Amino acid sequence: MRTEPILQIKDLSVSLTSGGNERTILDQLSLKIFPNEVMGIVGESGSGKTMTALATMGLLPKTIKVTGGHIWYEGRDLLQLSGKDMRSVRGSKIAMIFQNPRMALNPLMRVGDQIARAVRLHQDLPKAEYYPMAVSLMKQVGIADAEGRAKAYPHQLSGGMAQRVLVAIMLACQPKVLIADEPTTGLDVTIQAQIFELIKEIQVQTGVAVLLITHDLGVVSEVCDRVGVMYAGQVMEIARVAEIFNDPGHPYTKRLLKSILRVDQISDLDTSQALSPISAAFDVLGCRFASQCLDACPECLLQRPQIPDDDCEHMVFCYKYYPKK
Amino acid sequence: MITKNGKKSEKWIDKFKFFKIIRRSLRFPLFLLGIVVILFYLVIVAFGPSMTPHNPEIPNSKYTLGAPTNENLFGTDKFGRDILTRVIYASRLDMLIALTVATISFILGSLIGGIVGYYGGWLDKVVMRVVDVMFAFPSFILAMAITSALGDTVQNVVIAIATAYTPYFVRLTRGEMLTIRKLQYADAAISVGNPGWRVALVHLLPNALAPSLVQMTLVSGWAILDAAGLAFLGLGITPPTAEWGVMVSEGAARIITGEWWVWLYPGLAIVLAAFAFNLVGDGLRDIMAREEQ
Repeated sequence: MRTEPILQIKDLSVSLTSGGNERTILDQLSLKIFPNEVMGIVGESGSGKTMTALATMGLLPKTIKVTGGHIWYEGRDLLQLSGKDMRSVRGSKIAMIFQNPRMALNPLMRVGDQIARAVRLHQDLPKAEYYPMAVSLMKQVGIADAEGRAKAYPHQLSGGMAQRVLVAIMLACQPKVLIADEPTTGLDVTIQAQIFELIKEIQVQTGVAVLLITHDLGVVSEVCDRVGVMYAGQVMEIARVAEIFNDPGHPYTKRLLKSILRVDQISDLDTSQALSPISAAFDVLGCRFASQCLDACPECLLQRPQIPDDDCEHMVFCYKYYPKK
Repeated sequence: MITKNGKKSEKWIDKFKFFKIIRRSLRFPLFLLGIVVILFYLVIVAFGPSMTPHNPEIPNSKYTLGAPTNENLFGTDKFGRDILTRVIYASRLDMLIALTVATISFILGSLIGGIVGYYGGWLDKVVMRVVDVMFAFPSFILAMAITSALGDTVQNVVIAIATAYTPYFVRLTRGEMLTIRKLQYADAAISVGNPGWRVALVHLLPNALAPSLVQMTLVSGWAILDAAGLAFLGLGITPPTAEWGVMVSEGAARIITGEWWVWLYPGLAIVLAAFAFNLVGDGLRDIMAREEQ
């Protein structure tokens, strides 16, 4: 029915061990990203969005271990790759842009040189072309006075400018998949819109598949093609953006959508339904939202529903959803 | 400062910043004093030997143990050699020792510390235990042991003192590296596809060097004290080489007999040099602490 996914995460479990306690921070997470699409992941803080990105890049901190699952890319399981093979994937196949763009740049190196280094790593160009290529990439991501800005150090750039530089570095890598981890944290609203526009533009131009991690549902509705909703390390629902907004299946998604204030609707925020902190949810065997869920059944606490793998148009991990269909 | 041409005004701002740095360092008068004294020594190192008519090592039997005169401003020693000339030539040797020791231990220590701090694991544990053992010895005693094992040459003195101070830089750089490798630009450098060694040495290590640079000035001062101390004890640099420690040791026998100029001037040279390096080191630390605020 559809093309093969370019990146497929299957039953990925990741856990944090500290002082003898083990906490599963990603619980059997499955995701597919298809070529030429923008896939969004939304969820509140601590729901494991960033961990998903880091696990894919092989950048998990030492205290956090992958305990099961696969991350397939071009028929290879990234979790089984050696350090050297993983290096050939990073950048050239899967690149990442980070939250807090200024923190993601080397403070002692001029930004032009940093882009030029990425060009050197990933493009087959003569040595003299590295720097001019870097400058032209800076122009491409919409930096005015690219020649001058290339000589600036990261602390001399504004946050939005720094994020554009990161996008330029990503462009220099020419990846097939781009992971954007909350790329606009700490930027003001107008700059946020510009950055998302830039990412969308580059996606259309280069055909790169984008995994966009955010907690902003408004952004999701504008930029993404499909979206996965996460809660406490579990995927609750995956669907096309229009379906998520018009016909949410999972109780958590419904509650999440209720929390948005919309200009075109008179909403009455029901604070009695406010969720308790996410950290309380990690010890449940089954659906981690069950203890907060108004429709939960005893089964919910013990086991999550098994969903056939090929049903990727609209997946809802909830018992309540399936009898209806 | 305001010009119509945007680029020109930017350059003006840069110049303005340069003045700002100078003006800020004026708030640290002791730091400036240290810098001035070190510059004074460097001038002597560069031009001193060509300005003195005497030879530092050829004896002169006509005027031995002579008090300061217009001809011999600092007097002469028991072989009739001009003490001013010997102090000048000695400053060349001692400054050379100070700077090479500081440079060698800085390069070696921060490389080891950077690599060990980045990779961690068993390598880190082994190296840090070795460093702990070296710290257990006072660095002067360690330098003494190494010099007497290697033999008395200038080169061996440098090796010995540099070895004794390398652990300081290992510890400092490793500590910085442990925090820096967790920062986001470390992850970003890896995620672009850089191999580990390049992330560690090209992207992270330069960011971990600031405290070591302060340490480097302090170690320069300590190295002068150690080299002179070793020579005073008869280790490392030996007579007739013109060296401050050698000269103080020759003068020490004259303290009771009243020829004060033989030991006073080389001693003052040691004190002043060590003092200046310490002032600069402390000043740099203060300036950097204020920058961070």
